[in-house]
Amino acid sequence: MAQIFPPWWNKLPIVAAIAGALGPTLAIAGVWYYFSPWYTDVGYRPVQPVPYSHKLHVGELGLDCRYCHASVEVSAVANVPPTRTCMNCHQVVKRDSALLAPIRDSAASGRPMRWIRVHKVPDYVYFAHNAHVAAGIGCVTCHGRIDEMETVTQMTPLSMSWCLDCHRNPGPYRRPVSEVTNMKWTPPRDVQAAQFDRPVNPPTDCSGCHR
Amino acid sequence: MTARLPRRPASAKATAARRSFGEGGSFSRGGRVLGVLALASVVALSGCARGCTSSRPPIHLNPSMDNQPKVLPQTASTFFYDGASMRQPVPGTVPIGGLKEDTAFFTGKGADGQFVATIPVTVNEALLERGRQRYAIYCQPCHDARGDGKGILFQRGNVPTASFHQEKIQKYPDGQIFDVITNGTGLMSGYRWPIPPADRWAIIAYVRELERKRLASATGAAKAPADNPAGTK
Repeated sequence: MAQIFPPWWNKLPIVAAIAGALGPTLAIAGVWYYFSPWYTDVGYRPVQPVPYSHKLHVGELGLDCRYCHASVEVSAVANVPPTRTCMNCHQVVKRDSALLAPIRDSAASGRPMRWIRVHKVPDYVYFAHNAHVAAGIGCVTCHGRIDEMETVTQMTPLSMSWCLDCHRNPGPYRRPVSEVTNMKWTPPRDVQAAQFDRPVNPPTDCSGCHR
Repeated sequence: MTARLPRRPASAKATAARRSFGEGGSFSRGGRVLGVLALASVVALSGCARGCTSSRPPIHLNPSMDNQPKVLPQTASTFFYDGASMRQPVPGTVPIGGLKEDTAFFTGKGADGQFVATIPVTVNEALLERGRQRYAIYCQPCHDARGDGKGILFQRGNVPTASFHQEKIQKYPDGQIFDVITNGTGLMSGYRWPIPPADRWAIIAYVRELERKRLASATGAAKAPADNPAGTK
């Protein structure tokens, strides 16, 4: 009769010990790395219906963010501009471009362009652009160097811990309100950032953002 | 100890492992462990590292009501006939606090239908500063920082753009400039949407200031070139 436990069962304890140590470690490391918004969300770069280049319009032509995103100072939403804003220039510039055909169609028909949203917080988060702009948080702080992006890409995780990093210590992230849309602003060395404008007291309680 | 793994086309790494750890299709135990580790690392690395770009929407492993079936600003709608979830006000209605009785302020025209000659708000330093900021955002792209009309459209498309320093525009009543900003003229579109009325008046105050400075420096330079022309304000 054959042995119930063949000799290689002698190695079971050490194999079990290694697997028991390695398995949870790998699982934790995997969750830490792959479940984080730094992995799942950062780098999202959807293909838009028209390949609008912020690098050209902001970086080279020098348009201010608010030329198109005009509601950012007065509304919770930083609007995507109506097609009419594109046509301010493109009724005369590049008016035959095939890439701009959807824009011309939208302007003629009145049907909105279906731009694909890049930056999105969960629907139970009530983020207000106007409050952040008024507190001197620059566009670049959350959106990255838009003026260098051919296609807009999400650069920050927009996660709760990332929000709280700043809400708990906003000083280093603030700038004068007049420099909010300046992509290249750097803090002067001799002044503490927190001294620029009125003091702010961002909420860190749940109802500050979830209501 | 012979290999119990079936022989099937293996990945490049596994093939390499076989070459180094045993000929004739047999794996040593170390070879197998290394092979598994190599496969695991290939799986881990062939996926994307943090921060690499993708055009596919983010997958949230715990959806957690991140996307709710509610209407958000500027979203599409399958309910309304025009496909937009945001609605226009019903024609003929006025929102609370939205009655525009002050025609001079909201249209640039007085009760007689003529353009008002001067800005119907108090012009002070704060208004000029506000006008300077708004001018830089909305006007400067085409009319350039000094108001000469040598902006992007002129440079790139050779599109004729009005200079504020021509006599015709200097003689415009302020209300007419308000009307141009609101409704546009010629190739210029109306800027009613991005610039609220108070800001339009601020911009007009700033444009008038630009004109005044240009005129003062021109006459000052003509009268007394040696007499500190930079100091004319």
